[in-house]
Amino acid sequence: MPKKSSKAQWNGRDPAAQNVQGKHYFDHDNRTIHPNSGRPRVSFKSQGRHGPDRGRNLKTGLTNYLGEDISMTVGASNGPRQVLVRGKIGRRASWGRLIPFPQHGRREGRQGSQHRPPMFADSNWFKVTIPYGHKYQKDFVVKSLNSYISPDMFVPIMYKVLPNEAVFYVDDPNTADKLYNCDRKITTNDGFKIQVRVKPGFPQVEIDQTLRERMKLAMVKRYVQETNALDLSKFHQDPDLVTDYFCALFRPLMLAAVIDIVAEHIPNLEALNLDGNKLAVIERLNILTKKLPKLKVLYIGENRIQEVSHLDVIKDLKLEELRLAGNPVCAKYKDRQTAYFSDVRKRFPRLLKLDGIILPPPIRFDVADETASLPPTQRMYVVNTDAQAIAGQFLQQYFMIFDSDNRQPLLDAYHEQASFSMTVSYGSNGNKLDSYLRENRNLFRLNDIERKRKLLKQGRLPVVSFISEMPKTKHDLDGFTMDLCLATETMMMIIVTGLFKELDGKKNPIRYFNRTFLIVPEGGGYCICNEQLHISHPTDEQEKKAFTVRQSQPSSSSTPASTSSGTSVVTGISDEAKQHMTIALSEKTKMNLEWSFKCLAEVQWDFNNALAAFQEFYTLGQIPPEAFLPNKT
Amino acid sequence: MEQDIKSKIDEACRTAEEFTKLYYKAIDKQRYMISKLYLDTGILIWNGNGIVAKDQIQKFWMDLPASDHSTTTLDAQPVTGAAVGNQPTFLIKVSGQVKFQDKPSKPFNQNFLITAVGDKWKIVSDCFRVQEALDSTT
Repeated sequence: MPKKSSKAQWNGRDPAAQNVQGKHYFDHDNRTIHPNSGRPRVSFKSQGRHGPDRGRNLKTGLTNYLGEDISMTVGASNGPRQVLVRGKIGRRASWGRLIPFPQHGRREGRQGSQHRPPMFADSNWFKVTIPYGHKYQKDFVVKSLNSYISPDMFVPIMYKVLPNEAVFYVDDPNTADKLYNCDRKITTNDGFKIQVRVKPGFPQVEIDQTLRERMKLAMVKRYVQETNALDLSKFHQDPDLVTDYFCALFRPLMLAAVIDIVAEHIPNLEALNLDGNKLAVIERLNILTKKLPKLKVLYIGENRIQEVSHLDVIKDLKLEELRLAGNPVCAKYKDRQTAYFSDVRKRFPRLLKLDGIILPPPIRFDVADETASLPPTQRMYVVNTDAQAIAGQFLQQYFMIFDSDNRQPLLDAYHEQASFSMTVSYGSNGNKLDSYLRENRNLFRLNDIERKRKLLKQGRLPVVSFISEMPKTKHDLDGFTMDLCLATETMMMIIVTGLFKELDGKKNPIRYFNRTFLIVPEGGGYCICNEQLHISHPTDEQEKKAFTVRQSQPSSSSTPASTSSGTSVVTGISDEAKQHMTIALSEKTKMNLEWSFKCLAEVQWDFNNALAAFQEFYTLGQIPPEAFLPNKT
Repeated sequence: MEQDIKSKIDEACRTAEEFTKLYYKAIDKQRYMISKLYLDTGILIWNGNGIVAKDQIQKFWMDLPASDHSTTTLDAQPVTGAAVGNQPTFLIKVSGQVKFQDKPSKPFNQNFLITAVGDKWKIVSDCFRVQEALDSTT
């Protein structure tokens, strides 16, 4: 028989080729050859050519059934039967039609006892192929099938018209069974019978930006603002997605992607409905605790959750209502009242409603105050508001120089007997902060007393030369926290935390730091006598928000009046602008950067005033010579 | 290095190790006696919330949900100079993970300034920060 490798031969546009072929695997495809017959004709596949294949396929199929790959109907003499063949027989086998099994006796068998294919019971997703389905409108096919299996109903997922056939997916073994039994039962207007092939399978869908956008749009209409609730039940059947995408939440990656979208747009969501999504593995739901901390109502009914212990991944949610009915786990409880309730409530002690039933209020011991909560974080604390301005300015100057190309001017910022030490915590996420590790003065790890001494840098020069060798940085000044713990006339203790970006190399990683400065008055200003630096990785959330917080921007929906906090004096102008102004002033006046910065800071960052002040003092000869020392001291 | 400063560094390291053991045990399991560790006029700054004086600090800790700290790094320096005079004073920096009640654990940093009063070490300043992303409004 002729090879049927070319798809063009099958798409009906080449009647000549089909005429030449003369033989057909299916009774359906002879329409172009016998347009007037109006009746399908059974034809057999050629014998012999695929003989060896046949034997092998049959063997592998029977012995290696895994229930996941390929099914095909074998019309053996003893009646119809589903034989499953593993994928290794090759791509072409997956279309079924090229496997040369004789099909005689098939009809009779089908009309007799209906065998339910053995794999249907174990699978959740099925691929339905309608050979020649490309010749009909989707609506027609779907309506015909739906009316045949009525009162059952199905929604085709990812209905696609291919050159030779139409393909779609369904999500229910019962539907699959019904459709399987539709094969050749529906006669079209032109007298052909619609063939229906069903086998387990679901499509792989790549989660890309387009899909995320589409899912987002689909979610918008599923969100109810009044109750702050999002209904994602049977999400894979969403009419806006179902034609193009297979958004099956039972796939952990898809579930995670969907929760990410929710968390990004409705982080304060209170109710989430995940009913009917075939969730079996719910480990991914563990991110709910973190991503949707306000969640109080969760519906995960009509899924495939097997064990009550699987709920442990979400036990930190403060759930007040849970729907679990319709999961295999529920069937395990004979007594739906006590054992079931108590096992669920063990995980969710605040639960008031389970599967729609109001639970009796729990009786607890009066030991821990459940309502006790952590005080909200404040970005800044100052023990003394007068000292705040000094600390703020000190930090501004310090980090401006620290972030510049040359840290040598920091010599002025350190006391003659300054001490500096650094610790590093390296998380589990791969990057080991190697560049800092050698200087990690972690007393928990160091046993050698000499090493403990050595890692404490002592004296202005060693400290600044150490600091100068650290990677070049840019600090996210607007994201800093500042605590001014101590402010006496002789000493101030300032602790800043925040993020910085390393500028050396290509990757520019973001780091978290916590830095303590003990500063003491010296001359007209202050200098550091003790400093401790701690460096670690930022959390994912911190990294996302790095360099995005702008305290001076009114965009955060708060009223502009709220910027009247103490920091606005210092941060009213962006640091970038300050840096530019400092450089510009330095160029105009030939003062070094440090002095240019001081000058600008004195006049609240009015460039013209700074220039005027400079000229005034310059003419009076009141600017000290060190102001004109080159930046490299 | 002068012998004097060397011995101060060694003492700072030793004291810091002992201090952290004691401090976190008290915070996690024996809060009722925590105020003993603070100077009468000591200060606690907890995630930007300042609490001044020993009694107020005791109350704050009693009201705070149960905690579980585990420490990862420790660093300590002696503080010298005119501001502290002859009073032994150390700067201590700790990092680790902290869990409050059932909440997921988070990295934290804590800084102490401790000083010797008679034969007892007392906290002058205790500054705690959890590592977290902050909004512009806070």
